Amino acid sequence: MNTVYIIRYNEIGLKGKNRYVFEDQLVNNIKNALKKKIEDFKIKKIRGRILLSISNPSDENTINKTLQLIAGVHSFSKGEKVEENIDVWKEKCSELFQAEWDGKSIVQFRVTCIRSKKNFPSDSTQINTILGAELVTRFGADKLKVNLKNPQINIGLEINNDGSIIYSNSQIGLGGLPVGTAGKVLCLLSGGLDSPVAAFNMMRRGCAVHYIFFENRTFLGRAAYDKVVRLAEILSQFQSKAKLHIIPFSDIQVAIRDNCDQKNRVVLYRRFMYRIAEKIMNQHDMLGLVTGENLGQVASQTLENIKAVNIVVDSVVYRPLISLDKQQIVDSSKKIETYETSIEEAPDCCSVFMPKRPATRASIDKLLEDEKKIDVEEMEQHAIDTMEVLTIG
Amino acid sequence: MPLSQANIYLDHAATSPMTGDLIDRYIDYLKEYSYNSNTVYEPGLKAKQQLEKVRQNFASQLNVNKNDLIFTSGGTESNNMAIHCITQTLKSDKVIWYSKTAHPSLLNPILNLDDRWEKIPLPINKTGTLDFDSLKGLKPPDVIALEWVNSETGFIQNVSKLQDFIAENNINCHLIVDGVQGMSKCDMINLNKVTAFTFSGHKCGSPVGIGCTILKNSQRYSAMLHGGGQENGLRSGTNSVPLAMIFWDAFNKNQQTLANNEEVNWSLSKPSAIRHDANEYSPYIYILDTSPVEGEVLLHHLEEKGIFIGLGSACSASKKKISNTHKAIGLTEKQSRCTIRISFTPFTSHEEIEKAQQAISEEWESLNRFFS
Repeated sequence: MNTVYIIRYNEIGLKGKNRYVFEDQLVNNIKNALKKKIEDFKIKKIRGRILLSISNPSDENTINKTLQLIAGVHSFSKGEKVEENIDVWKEKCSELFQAEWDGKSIVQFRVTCIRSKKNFPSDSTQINTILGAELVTRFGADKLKVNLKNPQINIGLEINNDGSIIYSNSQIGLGGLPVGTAGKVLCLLSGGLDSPVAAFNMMRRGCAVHYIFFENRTFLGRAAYDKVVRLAEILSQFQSKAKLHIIPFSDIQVAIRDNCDQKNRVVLYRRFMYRIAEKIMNQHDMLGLVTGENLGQVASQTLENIKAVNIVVDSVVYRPLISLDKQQIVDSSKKIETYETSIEEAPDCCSVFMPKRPATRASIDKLLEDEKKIDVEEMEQHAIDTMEVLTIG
Repeated sequence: MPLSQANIYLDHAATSPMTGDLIDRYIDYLKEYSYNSNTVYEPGLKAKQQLEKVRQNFASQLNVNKNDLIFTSGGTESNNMAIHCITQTLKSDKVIWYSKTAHPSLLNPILNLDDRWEKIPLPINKTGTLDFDSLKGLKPPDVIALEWVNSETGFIQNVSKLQDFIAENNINCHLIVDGVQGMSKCDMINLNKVTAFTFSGHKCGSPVGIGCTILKNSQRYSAMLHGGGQENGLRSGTNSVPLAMIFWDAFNKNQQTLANNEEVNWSLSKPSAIRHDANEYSPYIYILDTSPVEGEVLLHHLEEKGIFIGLGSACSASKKKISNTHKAIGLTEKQSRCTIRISFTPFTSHEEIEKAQQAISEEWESLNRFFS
């Protein structure tokens, strides 16, 4: 296994005594993600780094793609394990340099040696100088300029107790924290653009995200269900298994339509959604709800209406998109590859019985009066009793 | 997903799913004849024999020259091929009369013809069918293209009368008829003055992926797809012999059932079918006026009961735009949303129709209050 990936993390380094928890989770997440795709690999924690050795270099593309999707990975480099010998390093350095350079233009470069094996005779600076000088001698002092701050080519050398690894380019990872280190949350997934991005943002900060979807099948058919399942599957590339709870919502919407003030319908729908979601959340020891709410985007997302909805639950509701512009959300959804699926036409259930003028500032007293006309408890329980649960990923 | 006994499928104008006996037979054909019919060893030659037998069967049934029968991938390709082949042979400034209510696979190739073509929509009356009185005043055409049976409403364009009109007025033109929705469901029209006639397998119960263009004097035309020169050079690509065989079987099964069947009797009055006395209709396609209930909502409620029906046109169900046919018969955008399409096959039973009528009526009644 001569091909070795050096995987770096950033914020985990700040986590003090709990650091090993984060590192172990990251190692596990990488293992789980790779297990599905490649057969032969070894993964190992060293001081401040993770080393991934593979036996089949043709897995390179798969590994690049996989590592780019794992939260907590700050950057990674593909390298080669080589003999601990200055002449071998000189050869390898030159090889890698030549592969990165077009051979003609003036190039800014540096050599970066990181030495965790302290009993090695030369220190890092000395090694950098020796290898840098070698490159200049070989390829010409008129073309090669040292630039420590912004090099175009960076040749790296890691010397640790296992031997030495030499590499050239680094690729940027997702950053953030390893999924699972922050605990479990429940995301209200609708099939639109926003909620998948909200789910992803929470995953990137270490949450394992499960989903809940409210379905009005009798009025809208199965297109939205199908879409939500596919969105959850796309999101599963960033985390391991998740549960998708599908709550039948037609009866509740009909009851609200039949009994309540029409201008309050959407806010009432959302109050039911929040209460049901909180019950599911509590059943599974989850630590919060996540929504794709975005201030002012639609009538139900004014400060007044968000408050009127939020008030029905005791849980913390995370709204990672609350202050973003639509374009930022669109850009994110393209990056995480949910965009194309999200924009497929399939109405979400909030559009059912949409009044001409929905309330933008629903009065909480009036909402409570409206809800007195419905057996809220029983309807919610029935919806939960008849829900379908899918495992995604 | 396989439909269960309890399901009722009434969207045969979109596609007619294969039935068990045909599936079994198709599997046998796949085992026996999955060879390239252009090869010269025995399995290939046997496949070729079968292909030619099917071609002969269709040709005899439709009373056309077997060399003018070209297998394609389906209705869309057949319509495109007909428009392409015929318009390509006519070089200078030309006139085409076309039906605005035609399926997009016929309409769009016409609308995409270059500016040398003057495109004149056929005059239609308020019910969507040809207005023969207004035809005379039009600039004489080189090509006329229209559908036989309208896919969204089931009205029948009077192709025979149109052929008489062409003869009486000494018009020298090519007539292209999209026969997809009429084939094996309505009494066959006379193809005397028809240059191109198209139809599709999956509307008759064969798998999706095969269709046919009848192109009279086909040797005159040049191909749309070039390649190995199959189908007399007009449609290159290796033939699927098993598909062609099952295409004939499905078609033939429909024909025979049709001959022994009483006509479909759709008698529901609420919601009512949109039928005009002045028109002739296919007994296999009905458009129902479901107002004030939105067709899609009714569709999903019926889906919950295991009954599958169509919206105005399956091809435009996902687009929220009003279809040309709906516009032509005078429906507003709102009225158009309040329609469903019911379509049968000769095998649809009276019992299924009864049950569907009852369910549609009940669901429609119970949904009314949500839309008033």
